[in-house]
Amino acid sequence: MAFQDIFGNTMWKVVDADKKIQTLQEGSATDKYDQILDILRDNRKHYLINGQTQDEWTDRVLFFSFQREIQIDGTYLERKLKLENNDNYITEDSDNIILQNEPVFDISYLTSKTSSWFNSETRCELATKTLVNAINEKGISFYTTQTQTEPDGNLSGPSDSEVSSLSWLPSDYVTLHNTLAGLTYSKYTYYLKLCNIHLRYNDPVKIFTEIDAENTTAIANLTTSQLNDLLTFIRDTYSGSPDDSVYTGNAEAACEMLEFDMAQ
Amino acid sequence: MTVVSSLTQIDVVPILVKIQRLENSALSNKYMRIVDLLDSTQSNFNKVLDMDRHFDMVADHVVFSETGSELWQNLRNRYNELADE
Repeated sequence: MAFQDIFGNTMWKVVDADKKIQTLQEGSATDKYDQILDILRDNRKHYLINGQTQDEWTDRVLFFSFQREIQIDGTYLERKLKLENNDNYITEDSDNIILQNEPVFDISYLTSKTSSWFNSETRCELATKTLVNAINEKGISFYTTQTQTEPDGNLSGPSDSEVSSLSWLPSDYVTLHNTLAGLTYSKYTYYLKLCNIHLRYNDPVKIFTEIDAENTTAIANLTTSQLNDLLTFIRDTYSGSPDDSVYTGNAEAACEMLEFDMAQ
Repeated sequence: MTVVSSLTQIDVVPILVKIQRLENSALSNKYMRIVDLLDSTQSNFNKVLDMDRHFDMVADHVVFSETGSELWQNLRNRYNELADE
């Protein structure tokens, strides 16, 4: 066995890689997520030798890819495929796109995955957030290109039936939506439903009637601990997007309604 | 019943929606639950209400008032009566 293949030596590589990742995370380098992704890819075989599963490693790559996507606002930098000498990991892995550092958090990549791929918290969270962000962006672009107006002078949105059936969205958005909505009920399902309700209704009475019904579903499907986790997740998610005060206010109201039901 | 003390930011609209939904439910203790909800949210009613926005959401058997604290008291009294019956 060559020196570099001895277990203890590869463990040092993992420790060293994690230290570098932590330092980069705490730093302010504009390309820090690119550097972190390179470290993860370069050390993939060491992580796998030292106990990390393929899924766990992939989830870390996905997590930092998502942070990178947020940081660069959806504009992906042109990057080159990194290959290690004598390392055939590219052909070993079916998810080449991750190893090749191509954008992973776009809708077409996620749409290509079946529900079994979303087998981790990381994938569910990041895919749901990606979809919700994409739908919101689609909504904004819908209005910026819309010329038809309502009698009150406001720009016309999609019709009620288009919104209800999601048919105003591209088909790949709908496919991903249906995949995510069909997963085992979780806080991410609730988040997606909350966004749908916000999208579908303007009338506060309808919004909160739907939210109240969804809270009943959440209570029927989740444990108290999972519900508390859901409340934290929803509040954390919306505190990060204070630009839509109506949306954020409705989400807080949803949380408080849920807290009331949980206490009964 | 457990009074939820942390319903601090919730608006009057979702509270009234919740009351409507509870009242229309088949729960045996629904009026107690409504009273409990009101006790958890008394301070949220300390505002002037909008007739157009809130009137339709209050049941016919409760006297509506645009003064939030007054409406809260009317709701509290009425649902407490129903809970005691």
